[in-house]
Amino acid sequence: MAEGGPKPSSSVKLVLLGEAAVGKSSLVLRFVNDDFQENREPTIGAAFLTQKCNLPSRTIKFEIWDTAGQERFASLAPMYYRNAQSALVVYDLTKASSLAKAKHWVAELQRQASPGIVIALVGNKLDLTSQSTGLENSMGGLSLSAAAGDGDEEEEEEGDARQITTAEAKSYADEEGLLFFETSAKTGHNVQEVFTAIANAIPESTLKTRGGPGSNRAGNGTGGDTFGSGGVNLSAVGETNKDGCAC
Amino acid sequence: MSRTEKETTSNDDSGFGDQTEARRLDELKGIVPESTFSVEKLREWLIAFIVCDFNVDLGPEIEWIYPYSPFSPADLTTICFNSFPDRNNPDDLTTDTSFHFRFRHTSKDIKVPSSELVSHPEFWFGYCLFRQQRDETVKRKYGQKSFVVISQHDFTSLFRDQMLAKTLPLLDFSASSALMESACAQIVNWPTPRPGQMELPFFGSIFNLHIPLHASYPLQGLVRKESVKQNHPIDIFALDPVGSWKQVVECLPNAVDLYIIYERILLCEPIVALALDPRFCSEFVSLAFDLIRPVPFAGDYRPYITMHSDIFSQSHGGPNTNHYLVGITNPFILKRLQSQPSKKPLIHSPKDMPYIVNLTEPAPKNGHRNRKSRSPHKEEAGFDIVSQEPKGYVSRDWGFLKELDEACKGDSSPVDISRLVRRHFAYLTARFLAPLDRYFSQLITAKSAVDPFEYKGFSEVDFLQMLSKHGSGVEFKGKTHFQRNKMEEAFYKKFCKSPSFFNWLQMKIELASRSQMAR
Repeated sequence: MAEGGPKPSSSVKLVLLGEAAVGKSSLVLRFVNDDFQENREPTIGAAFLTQKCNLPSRTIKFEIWDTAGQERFASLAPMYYRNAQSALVVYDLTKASSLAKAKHWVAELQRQASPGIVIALVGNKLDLTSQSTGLENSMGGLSLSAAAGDGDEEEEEEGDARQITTAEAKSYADEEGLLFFETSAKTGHNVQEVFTAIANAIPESTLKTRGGPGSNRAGNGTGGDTFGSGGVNLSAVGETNKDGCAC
Repeated sequence: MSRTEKETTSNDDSGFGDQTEARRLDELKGIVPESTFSVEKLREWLIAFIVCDFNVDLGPEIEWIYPYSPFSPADLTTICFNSFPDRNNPDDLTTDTSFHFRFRHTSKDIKVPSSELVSHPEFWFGYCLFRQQRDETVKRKYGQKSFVVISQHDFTSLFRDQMLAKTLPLLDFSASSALMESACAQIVNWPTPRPGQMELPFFGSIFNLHIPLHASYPLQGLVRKESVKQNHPIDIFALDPVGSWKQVVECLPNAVDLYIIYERILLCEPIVALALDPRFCSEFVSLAFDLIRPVPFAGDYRPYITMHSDIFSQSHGGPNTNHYLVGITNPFILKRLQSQPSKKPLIHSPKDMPYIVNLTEPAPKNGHRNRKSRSPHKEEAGFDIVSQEPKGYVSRDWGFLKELDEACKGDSSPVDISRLVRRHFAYLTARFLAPLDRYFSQLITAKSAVDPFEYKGFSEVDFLQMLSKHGSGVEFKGKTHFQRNKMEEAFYKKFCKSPSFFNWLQMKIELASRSQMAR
């Protein structure tokens, strides 16, 4: 980055959890390599990847543990979310049962993971719903839900495989204090935004800084971890996004 | 595999031995899931994960191997028996313990990629996590299992302390194929082991592994920094000894025995460490082995052996050298080491008697301990430990011993005490080697180029002459100057006849040609 001094840089451990085949690895692949593959092999155990996310005041290096969704690996999950500062709990918005599984993971994280963990609930495969087109350029995940609502438009379109309404998931996320997004790993819609929102939501006090000391603490108003305040933030972050998360 | 299923299988077996192992391997071939990854890539780091179960009726047996690997029956027997403590510690029934062993393998069907980091590919290591827990379904109400990693690498701190001891115990007692598949899936994505620093992700942690350029110089090329308090990354120094000298010193009747241990290792004379548990004896071997760096230990070192060690097997002809450093917990092995049928009776040759380091009890805190009291196993071993009174050559550094004593009595950490001991002996070794280095450098500078073959022009007479002229930085025992010189000459002579000298020379030749090639 061609900016003045080196920005403080910190590592953030992030774990992905969710039912098999909801698109966890695809989200990561989109975020890290800006790529998408149909019909990926299921993950064995977990995959480890890193990606930097440049915020205006600091750089976050995500250390991403993309866990296997298959039930036989479920008992290994605590090893991955142990000491994680953030988690991405993914469901498939075309599959009702996957939200139930996501809720189960959220409950487990709240019970057993680090107390300050930032959790984002992510409904993936938006491309399979009627909302997939025309909304890509909207302001961000939250506005999407608010603006689009569960109105008639959705139901009018044919081939809409959506089984979980935005409102349903959103209200659950609000209740539990989770960040919330609907994404498409296939089109890339909202993927960057999820990670940026998480980066912004990590309390600065929990970061281990490796960069320049005594750097700008007057951050970016990331105080709130909830969806609401995160949302306000998003539009601001959106502007810096292009030179933001380097993908 | 369920418990009942296993018991029925086991009941069919009439005896235990290589045949059983061979049959067990056949069974496993059928049930172990096929690996979805490149086994060759995995084998850059390790050969397999093995779960051994202790069957009360039959003894230890293999429960699981992943990925499936065609071990020889003899290797499976070695692995089975060496993966369990040889004696029970009745005070401690439910704590995990970890240790490691080394064996000469015979599994010809397992192909392991060669690596410059593996200097003895004929040896493999077993890193074990032994666990005992209450299990109402088995006889005697206790289940005993060992999780084992078999690897060609001597990376104890990575495999034993990080991989097994910290990560795997978080999991369930039973062998979980999901666990081993996950472990392998992560390891195949690791870079190929090479000198330098590597970040290795494993079960939610990141290991920051440092591998030195040469095994004899474990610090060379490494930047040592204090670990950050956060959970990652975990700094691991691949060739660092495991364990602490503090624990050893506390068991020695007198800290001056460190010099005896040092001299014996340097001269490659047999040493046996007898401890109550395999962890301690294997740690002792790891520590002792490190003491003489950069001189590579030229003997056969075995952090932990049991009666079923391959060291005794006929195909190897027993410990056919008298150069070994062995850790045991079963005192009967002492007898066994003494009675190799193929050899001349050792009893007539006291110099071949192993020096026994008794680590079975802490030395009393106050006052002297009678040397005789250090032989609690005299009877059962049928072996007189008392008779060992080696005098030693090197003069003791009382300043160091005082510092060590104070450190052990005070609140110095085990890490600090280890550092103190290692530093002292590293310095001693450097001073010891200085006259040899001086001799070789004048031999080489006689010609203009560095020619490794010049090392072969060693003449003991010339060297000793030079030694008597310039002396050595090491102080030797003796009341008079003359006595000290005699002692010095005798010690260097002994060293030059030992395999250590040859190994050290070989290493120098190798390093010289390496640096020449780099030019």
